[in-house]
Amino acid sequence: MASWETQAVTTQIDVNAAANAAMEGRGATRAAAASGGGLGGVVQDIGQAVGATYSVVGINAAKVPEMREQIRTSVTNIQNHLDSIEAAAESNEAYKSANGEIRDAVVQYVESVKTYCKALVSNLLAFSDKLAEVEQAWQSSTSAMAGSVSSSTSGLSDNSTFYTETM
Amino acid sequence: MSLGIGDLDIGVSAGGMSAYGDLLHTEVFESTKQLLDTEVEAIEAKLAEGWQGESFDRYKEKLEAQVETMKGELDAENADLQNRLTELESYYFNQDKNLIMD
Repeated sequence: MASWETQAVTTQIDVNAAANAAMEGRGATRAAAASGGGLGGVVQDIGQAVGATYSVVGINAAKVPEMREQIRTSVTNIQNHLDSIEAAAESNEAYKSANGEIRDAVVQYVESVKTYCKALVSNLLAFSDKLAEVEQAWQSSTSAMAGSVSSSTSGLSDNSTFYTETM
Repeated sequence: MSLGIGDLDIGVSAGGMSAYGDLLHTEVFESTKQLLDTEVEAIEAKLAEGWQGESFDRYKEKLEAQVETMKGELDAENADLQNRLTELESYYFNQDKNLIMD
């Protein structure tokens, strides 16, 4: 008479395998980011960006044209001031010459000094160009940062396969 | 009775030259330096309306350093102009001194 004893039937599905694979893959991308392979590895601690002297940093790009215009206005104000100076004022109380030729020569000299001063001050306009460069640099750097974030998102997505039942 | 520069067609007044030099010093150079400071304050105020951070601080430092350099250059230019005026004045006095030698 046959024994009623039968061998147990075991299930084969490893319920941890899919989760372990996903977590191992994700762990690898986190490790890469933490070592500088992700957003640059600049973060020292959670919420603590390198060199954060300010709690808010950045620029309002919409105001850059106003900023540049202020620099132009300031340069023009100074140049107008120099233009308004009468080089010959009171010179008649200082010196006289036949036909006023010395006065004319001195006035011409003073005018050339004023022109030099105006040219000197115009160099402040380089700071206007610098502002435009700053705006471009911000835009360029944020585009690069966005690219890094997108790249990290792709790595994360690769390990985000949803488990679906097969039986 | 001594003559003033108003009584002459050719000549120089030491007092008038001094006043003329002071006028140019004040009007061309000192007032421009003061205006530079005023305008830079206006620029920085406008910048502060839309820019914050260490890069802004460095930009301001460079701007202020540039303005100080310009003010130094204006001082140098003033000194040069005052020297030219002194030379002109000396020329007149030297001419007067050596006009009749015998």
